[in-house]
Amino acid sequence: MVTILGIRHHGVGSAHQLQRRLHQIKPDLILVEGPAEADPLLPLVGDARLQPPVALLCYDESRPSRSTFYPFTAFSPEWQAMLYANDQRIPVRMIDLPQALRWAMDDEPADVAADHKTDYPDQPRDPLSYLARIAGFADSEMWWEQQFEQAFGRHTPEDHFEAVMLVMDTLRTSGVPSAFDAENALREAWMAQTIQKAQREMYQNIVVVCGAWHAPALVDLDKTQKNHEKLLKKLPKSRIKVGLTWIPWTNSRLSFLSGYGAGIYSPGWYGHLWENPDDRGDRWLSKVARLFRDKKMDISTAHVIEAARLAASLAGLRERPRPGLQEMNEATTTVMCMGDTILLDLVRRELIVGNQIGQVPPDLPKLPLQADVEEQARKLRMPQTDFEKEWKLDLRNELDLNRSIFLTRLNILGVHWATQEKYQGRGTFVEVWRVKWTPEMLVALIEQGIWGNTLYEAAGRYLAEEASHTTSIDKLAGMIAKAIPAALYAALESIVDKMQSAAAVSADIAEMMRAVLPLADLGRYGNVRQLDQKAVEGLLEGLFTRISIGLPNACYGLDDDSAQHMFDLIRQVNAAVNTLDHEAWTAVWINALLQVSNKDGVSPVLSGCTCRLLLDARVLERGEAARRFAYFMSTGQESEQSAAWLEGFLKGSGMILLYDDVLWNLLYKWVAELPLEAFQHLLPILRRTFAAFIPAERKSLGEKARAGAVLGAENDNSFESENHFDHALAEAALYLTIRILNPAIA
Amino acid sequence: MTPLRRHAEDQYAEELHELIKKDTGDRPANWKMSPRAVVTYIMGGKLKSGFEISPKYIGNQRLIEIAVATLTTDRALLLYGLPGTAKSWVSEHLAASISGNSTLMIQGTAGASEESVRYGWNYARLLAEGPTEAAIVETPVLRAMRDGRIVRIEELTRIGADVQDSLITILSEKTLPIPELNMEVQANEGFNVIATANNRDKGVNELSAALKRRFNTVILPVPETIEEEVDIVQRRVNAMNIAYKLPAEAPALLEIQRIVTIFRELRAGATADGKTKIKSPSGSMSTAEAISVVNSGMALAAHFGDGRLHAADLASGLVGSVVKDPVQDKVVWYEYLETVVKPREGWSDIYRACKDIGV
Repeated sequence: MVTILGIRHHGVGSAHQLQRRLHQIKPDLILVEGPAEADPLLPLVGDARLQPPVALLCYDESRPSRSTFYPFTAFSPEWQAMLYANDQRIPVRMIDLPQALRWAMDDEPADVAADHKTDYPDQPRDPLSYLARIAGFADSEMWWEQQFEQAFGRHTPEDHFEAVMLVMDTLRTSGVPSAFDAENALREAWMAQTIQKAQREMYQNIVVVCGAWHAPALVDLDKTQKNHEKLLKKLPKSRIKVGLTWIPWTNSRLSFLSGYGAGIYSPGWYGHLWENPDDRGDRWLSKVARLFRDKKMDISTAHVIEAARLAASLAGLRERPRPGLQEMNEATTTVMCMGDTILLDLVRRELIVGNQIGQVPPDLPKLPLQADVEEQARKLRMPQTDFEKEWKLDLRNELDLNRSIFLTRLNILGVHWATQEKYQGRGTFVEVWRVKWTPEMLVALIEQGIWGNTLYEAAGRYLAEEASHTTSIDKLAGMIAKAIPAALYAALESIVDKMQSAAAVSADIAEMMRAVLPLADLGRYGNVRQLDQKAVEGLLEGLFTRISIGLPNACYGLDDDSAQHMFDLIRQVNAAVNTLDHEAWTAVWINALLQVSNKDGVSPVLSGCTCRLLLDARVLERGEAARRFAYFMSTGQESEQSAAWLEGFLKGSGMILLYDDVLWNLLYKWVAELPLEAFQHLLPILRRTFAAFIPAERKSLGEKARAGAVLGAENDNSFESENHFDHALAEAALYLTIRILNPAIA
Repeated sequence: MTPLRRHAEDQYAEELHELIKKDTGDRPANWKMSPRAVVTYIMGGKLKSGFEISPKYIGNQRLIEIAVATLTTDRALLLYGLPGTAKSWVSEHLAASISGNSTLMIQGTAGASEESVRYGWNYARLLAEGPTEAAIVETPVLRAMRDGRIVRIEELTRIGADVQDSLITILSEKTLPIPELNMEVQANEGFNVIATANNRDKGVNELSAALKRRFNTVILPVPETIEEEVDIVQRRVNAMNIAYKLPAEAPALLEIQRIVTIFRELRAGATADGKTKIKSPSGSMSTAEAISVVNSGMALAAHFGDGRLHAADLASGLVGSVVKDPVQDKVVWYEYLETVVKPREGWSDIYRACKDIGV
């Protein structure tokens, strides 16, 4: 005898009914919908070391990027079926099309699939929606939930499965199409064949657990046998070797698309229902209240009582047998959160989705990504130990460079085996990493297995996916800054594309300026690899244009903090412009700086800063710079403004004061004429400016200050004059410099 | 003489009558109809007899269900939201359908005293007879308690904190003690309170935690989609048109769409296509205001124009509702006018009309 039990994947009610029905039938063989290759892994179900949520991972051993997951939770009917079988020591098998064949079909879609291509103009509707509409539900999920998943207390298991079969049979015999008809025909043929094979093996009492939609097709096997054989003949031969293993899964990943079609969005809630089938809301709402209290919100028992009552009346009003998640959420919002839905996000994250992580036995076959990482770690001679260790990497050396790339990629995936620390010494080619391996990292790594089967692929896809979900220029810039040292050039392209569109709608100048910095770095590295330099250039060009237009306004009317912030940004972008050394962009940038320096109402720090940058870029004549210096140091200015301007002008290097006596004299005179009180008041700002100079500069400045103002400086042009320049002396130094910089020439 | 504005229970008397006739659901004690029928009355729908119930609230049915379900429990209902999101409108219709009477109402003001919430005294009688029951002046709250009906309190947060607190006993003990007479009035079944309050005035008299706990809060949002909002404006404008007997033609859908678009864009701070960021004015730019802009435009068109609604008739109302703060909002409005309205195809008439009016 064969009993077909149609279920919904991850359906709590289905799982309950299945559990009860299995105990009634007491089968001698259980057949479960799932890829046929998975059979050897099934005996592990029930092992205490295999704790759901877990997923069955199938991957193509020759092309590991191709993989499929079949996640299971404690309340998955399939899981319960396997658990029952192992518990009762009866065989259990998977009966769906082997994964190898499915992939082989993907490889030659024209052949098999084309025969079954349906000619519906659009994607057909969810078949259940026809019945849901008759029953007065807008949403077929909701209807199924109400009809079959939540009502398990009211029907016997026998009635339940009979009703499910009737529903599906009615839909299928009335010719309601489903989106996967072509594929389903093949899968059902395979399932039927497997059942018949089991029958030939003389099993007496077989139970088949499959998705409800397939159930009617598996009832009358003799009638459909011919047709099925014809279908299966067309299947391609597959040489794909499928790798299989159990991997830990998380509740949040249950909502991902998987081998079982759509995911579920509230695994935590279903888990609660599985464990507390009789809860009418009291227990759930108490959990919610507890969560709020943990977060320091005042929620009393009275709140819980009121919320439970409201949930019950809402269910009554909607003619539901008992309150569902929607009623719970509405009651929580209305009673506990003053109608505000923001707090519900917390409930959603912590309870409705939940943060359970599954466990798998350690001796299972390894996941491709995990294997790849271990292989690389071995090659790079980096043992995975929980002993904390510091690695000093010299990036000029290939092994160390590869280590750095490896660690950065792991970090991108959220596997923080190593954290980078600031290197105290000189040189940009040294990185310091502190490494410590912990077991949680393995889980994190396995979780990221969905992104790809090699570290390079996974990190790249993960970044690209992250990039597609954000429109924040800052975040995208951060991603670029991460992708460069990780050498993820393919991902970079999609991030740059995304940045292009994000920059087009942004009005935040500071954000765009921050974005320039990593992009400028890219300009430096980009030519090394196969990166599309044009895209980056186009993006930079657009950014520079927007920044230049917006900069003068963005500098207007800033308070001290914002001005300091902008000051740093301007200097950084200026440095980037110098690095890039692109004629048109430099011109655009200089033009923006000019506008800022000429604009009234710009904070003095910025005005000093732009004046200095323009002087350095030789856009401003020295005389003009001196005039501005004098203007800001003149007695008509508030002394605070003068000090701020000075800070902007001098920050970074005081060298200019050493060789330009005109400016020196102006400064000297200003300080000398400051009233004592004002001087004391300004001392912190001045100190902030001067303390940042390197010690040698400070020493020379001190010596110069002791000598006082330089007489006759106003008439001395030696600084700029060509006449006083000794070419012979300069040439001698030039030769030595070249030798130092590049010993190969000499 | 007919009243300018009729109470909900009079205006929709026929609908209420039909609903009650066909209602088979269980009625909570002292309710005129079942909770389900109340939801149908507010959201609209077709009865089995084919009788059409007009929708009173256009928006999320779940919110109305929560509100009605709340009233079946012993918690009071607080409708919360921006000005002009139909809070009072919903509360009036809830009271009319549940109690058959929407007139038991206290308007919350800064000057509302405890006497206007609990009970007052008829001083002539008090002097003549001393404290007797006959000398008591009943408030809507007291009457609602006695009759087991719904009482509405409008703008709860405008009432002073001490007066608000006098509601606590009423809501939790469901009694109103009258110590002068050594007696109390106990609320009969069916009694409940619907209060409204708006977000913008939150700071005026924030509800105490004790009082908050006695209310279930439902936030009425601004309409989600432009279609919904256009529908609301159109229905309300047409209804007013009949009430005020304006000789103007019903406004073209296009005009209403434009007004609603302007309101939504300014409210959201971005153009409808999401491409351009714009500044939001200080006012709330609610749907109710959009309705009044169209209404005043209709009146202008009827009495001073050719009876058809043109951009020029709308402009003055529009500018008035956007520019509440003469300095800041003026900048916002001009920026919007120049960067969004001007380049938009087919909007030149409204652009010119607004420019002509100035601010």
